[in-house]
Amino acid sequence: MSLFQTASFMTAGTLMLAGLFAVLFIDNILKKVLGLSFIADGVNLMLIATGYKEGGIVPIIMEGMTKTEFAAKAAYPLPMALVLTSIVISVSTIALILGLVLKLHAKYGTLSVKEIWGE
Amino acid sequence: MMESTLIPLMVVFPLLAAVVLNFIHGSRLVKHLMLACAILLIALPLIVSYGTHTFGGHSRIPFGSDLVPGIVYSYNPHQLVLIVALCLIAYLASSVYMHSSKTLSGVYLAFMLVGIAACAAIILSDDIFHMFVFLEIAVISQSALVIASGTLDSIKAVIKYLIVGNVCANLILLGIALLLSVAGSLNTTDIQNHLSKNPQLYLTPVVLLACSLLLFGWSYSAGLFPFHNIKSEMYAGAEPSAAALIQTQTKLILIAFAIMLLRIFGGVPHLRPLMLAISVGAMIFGVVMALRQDDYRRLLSYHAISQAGYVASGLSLGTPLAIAAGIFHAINNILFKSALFIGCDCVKYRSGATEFSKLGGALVSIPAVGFLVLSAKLAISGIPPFNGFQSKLMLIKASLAVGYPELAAIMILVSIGTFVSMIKAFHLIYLNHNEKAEVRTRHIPKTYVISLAVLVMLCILLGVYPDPLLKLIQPIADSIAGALPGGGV
Repeated sequence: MSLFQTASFMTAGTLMLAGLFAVLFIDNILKKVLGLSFIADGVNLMLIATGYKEGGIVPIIMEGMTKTEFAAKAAYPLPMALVLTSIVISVSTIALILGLVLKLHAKYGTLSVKEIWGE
Repeated sequence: MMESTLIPLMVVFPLLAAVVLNFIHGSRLVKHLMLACAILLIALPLIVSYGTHTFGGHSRIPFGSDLVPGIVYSYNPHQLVLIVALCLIAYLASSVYMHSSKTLSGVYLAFMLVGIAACAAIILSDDIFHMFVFLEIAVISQSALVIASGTLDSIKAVIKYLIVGNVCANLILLGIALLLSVAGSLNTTDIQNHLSKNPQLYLTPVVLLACSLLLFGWSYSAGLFPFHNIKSEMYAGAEPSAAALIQTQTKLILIAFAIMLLRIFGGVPHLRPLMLAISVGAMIFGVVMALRQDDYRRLLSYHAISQAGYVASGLSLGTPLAIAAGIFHAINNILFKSALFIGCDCVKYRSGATEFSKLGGALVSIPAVGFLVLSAKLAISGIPPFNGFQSKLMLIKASLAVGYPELAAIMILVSIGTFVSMIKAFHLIYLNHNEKAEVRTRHIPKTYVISLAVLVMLCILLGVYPDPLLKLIQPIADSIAGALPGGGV
């Protein structure tokens, strides 16, 4: 495992833990949603790091490149495709949550979970 | 298996119909379009031939790896049963909505169709990432159906569901990433083959972590313990007819996800005991919480969780009989639980409330609905000759055959709890003379009675003559159990 990959995994882990902390322990819904975004980013980074190849090239056959050379150098493209889809999913669910949070804010005038849910 | 090009139609058609309906509001055209779509959706699984479909026309790469480079759909007899059940409930739920609602919303029906497409894709897919994508689409469509009820409680329930769901979705994705790093593929069959050829991989930390994450995801998406409260709030927040469809989708997702878990991680020690613990937790907590409710919708919601526990416990036991019993109970549950939710919708239409304190004496004004709902209540309690009796008996036999008499005892006790709370609810709504009972209207649309009659007739039919259905389910049960270590025992 290269240094870049190790650093990426550690950053991904930190992002996920920070996000999980926000979701579990912070009272403000907006900050919880930010936490969700952190978790999603952490997972996406993890996926990208999984497909990383030291000295790799984009998985497109260039002019003059042999199939063997391409197979040896090209990065694994599947994780990139997954991340793209995952970003779209994450954006749509977070947009939906934010829309609903707006409705709650209009009703209660606060974003505190304790005040809205009366805990 | 044979290539069947029509398989994706079961996903594509409802999605296209949803796009069209999304732009039509308040007109009678919505009604006719939706009914036509729903009938076509029921017919489609019967027309399509069994087989597999590989997207993009890619075939297997034979050089060394034997991997599939594209998304694969496989279509087998048990999937036919599941998709037909889903489309039937969608037809009945949408009919009830269209006949009881004053304004017809094309967007609402469009989300019903999106949910059907998502659920069909999850059932058909042989690709874990594809399954994950449609799982998220199902979550959004279910959330939209719940928000449509327009109450503040429903918005709160959806926010909770989405926040927890987002965390769980990311955990599932992490599990998928770990599996991809181990097997180099997202195809369930390929991952299963890779792991079964290298059984030492089952005990590696990466596979164990992936298994735990996906198990967590299963428990969330199926509304099992410890997510039973969040899911039951979703059911209770939706209009009862929509809740019937949402709970149907949840049961089908439970089955598809559990089959995927058993196929990929069948060799992981303690997977099935853990699944069983989650299932038993759902069964017990569901029925205990149901007994405490003073709102009919909430009572039914917790029972939906409890019944999901039965289905999951059958699948977790892993023997051919248990898996077949689990899938059979899921189909039965879809039928009687939908009847109960539609009955609840009728009560809400008549009284404008679902709290027991505001209900009573409904049998006089809606006797036909009362008797049909009573039949559904007997079916869910496992009383012969209804279908619930057959599947619960099979589950009990399966747990005794595996050597878990405790599980059989729990199933019987939970069934008794279900019977008690169902009869209590029937007494309070239909028999009890409550002076505070509210009556908004004495005329209910005939669709309620017709829908209930169809569902109850199916409950009786499957209770008296379950063999044709079991013949369709048994091959997948044998196949999954056969691939598990020790044949699932």
